[in-house]
Amino acid sequence: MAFRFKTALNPVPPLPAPASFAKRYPIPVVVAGHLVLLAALGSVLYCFGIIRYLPTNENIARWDVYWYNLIREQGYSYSATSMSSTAFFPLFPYLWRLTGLNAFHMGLLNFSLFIAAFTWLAQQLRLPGRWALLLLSTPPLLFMVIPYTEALFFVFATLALLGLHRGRLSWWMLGLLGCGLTRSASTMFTPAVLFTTLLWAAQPGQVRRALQWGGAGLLAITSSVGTVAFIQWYQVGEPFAFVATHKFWGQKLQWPQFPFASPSGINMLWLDALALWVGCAAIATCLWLAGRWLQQRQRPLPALPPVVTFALGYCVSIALFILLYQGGSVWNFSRYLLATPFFVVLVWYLGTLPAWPWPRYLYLLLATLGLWQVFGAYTLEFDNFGRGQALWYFALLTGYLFAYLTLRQLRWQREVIMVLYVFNLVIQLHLLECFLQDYVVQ
Amino acid sequence: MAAFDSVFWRVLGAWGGLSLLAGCGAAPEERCVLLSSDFEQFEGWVSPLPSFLTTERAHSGRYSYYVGDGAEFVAPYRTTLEGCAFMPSRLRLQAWTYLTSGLIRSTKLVVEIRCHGRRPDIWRGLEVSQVVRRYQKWEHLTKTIHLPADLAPTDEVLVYVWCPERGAAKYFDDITLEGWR
Repeated sequence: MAFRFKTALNPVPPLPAPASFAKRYPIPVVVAGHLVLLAALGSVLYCFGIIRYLPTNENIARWDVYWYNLIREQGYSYSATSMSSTAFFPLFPYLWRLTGLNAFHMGLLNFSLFIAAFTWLAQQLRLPGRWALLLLSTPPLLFMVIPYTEALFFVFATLALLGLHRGRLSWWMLGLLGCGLTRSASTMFTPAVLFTTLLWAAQPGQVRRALQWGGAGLLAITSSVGTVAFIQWYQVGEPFAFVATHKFWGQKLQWPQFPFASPSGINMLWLDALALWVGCAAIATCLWLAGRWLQQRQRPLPALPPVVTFALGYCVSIALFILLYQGGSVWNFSRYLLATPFFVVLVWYLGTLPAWPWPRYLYLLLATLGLWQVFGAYTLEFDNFGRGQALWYFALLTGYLFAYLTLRQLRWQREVIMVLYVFNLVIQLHLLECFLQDYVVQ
Repeated sequence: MAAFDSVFWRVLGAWGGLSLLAGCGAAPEERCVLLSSDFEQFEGWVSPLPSFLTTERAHSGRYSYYVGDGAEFVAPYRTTLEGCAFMPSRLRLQAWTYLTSGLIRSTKLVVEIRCHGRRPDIWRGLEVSQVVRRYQKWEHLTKTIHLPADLAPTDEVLVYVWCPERGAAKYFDDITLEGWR
């Protein structure tokens, strides 16, 4: 150990004070604060009777929990003429079986997994504390408390994204493999991996590395599909039962019908509309990048981090799936898109961009206002709302969206985040209460 | 004198305005009523009362249209577009509903126009479970349906409630269907 002695001739500059835990690890502190605030708000609203239900082992086992529980208890079953459990992927129900927990405790484990993964992701991305707080309040994150696959998917998708971000090939592969075993994500990931590889390889001197990562990614995806097919073949004798059964959920290739709607109703529709907006923005960005890729001999391709390209690719795949396979129903859109680390990565990247000129927001505003017409916002097709009421609904939605978009260059960023955060938490608790009452929340 | 002038000009203006309105003649009818029911009119005429009527709850009067727990269909109302003196370009359906809980599942207040093979039928449903978020109180419903130009007065209009998922009980009252020019 070296000692330094202060003398008149050799003044030693004072050692910097050791950084406090909060400064070294700001995200865990923020996350802990969020948990306290969530518990405080939830308990106050419950105590005052504003929300009437808290999760219990009985009321949390709703909707798809039935299917996961069925797989957990009995393994897979398949019917060629009706809905069956083969639509659901094995990792979550078998993990549930392994833990031996009941539905409520599995929900708690899910929430803990999500909190850990989010903390790790936000810390690694060096997300500002306020932004982390805001992202933790994203309303569709209510599904992290439910015994659904959302939390496990979040964990593995975080692993894949951070593998890409930190250059850890093993994380990347394990993350993709885990995602592919948790949810039917392989169809979403394959185009995203190909697109990411294509753009990555176009960067100077990156061809070999991009091909290596792309190949490894496809290998992981194929392995996950193969494993699921084997398990289902072994149990029900039909290797691709998870594909065949989807038509009983109304998911088949079809033209979307207008106006778009959500069986979850107007309290989820605005979130699904936001997810649609993110999906459309991702499609537009990827088309622009593809155009620039074609012009790369004339001008260099923008150097977008692969983790962002992959997140964009995932959003495009989800958007195309919802638009082409659900016939105009946008339900599940926000769950599939906003309750994922891909959304976190996109918001993080948006926050790192330099301020945009205000006219750009004007163009975005016009495009956004045009997009709302798919819900019949301006033509009395938005059921049960008069024209003025529909305009007000979508004006509020537009304001909410643009608060996020302009946040990084707003003068009152702190105040806006505070308002959004509290509003989001109330919505999160409201939607959770609806779910617990067996209302349609998907 | 100034006050007299003011009153004079007001009277003159009013007289002129009324004369102009009179000169224009009666404005053409803008809407017609194809259905307007508060479900009170059956009492005394039909015995026993139809099973879809109940006095358990009512938005107005004593009776409402009741869809029981687990029921899929209830009796439809039938009329024709001849009920309108003109061929409407859109229909406006309005009703009041009382939902016992959010467990009503998919519940559609349907307007169907049967064209008897002359052209494809029209089928439009207001998904009640998507738009009503308050339970155990009467809530207003409205839906506008745009119609194609090639409908005929003899085309049949049906209004009914369809519950494909046979959810919890629900009540409807004061249902109106208007045709708009």
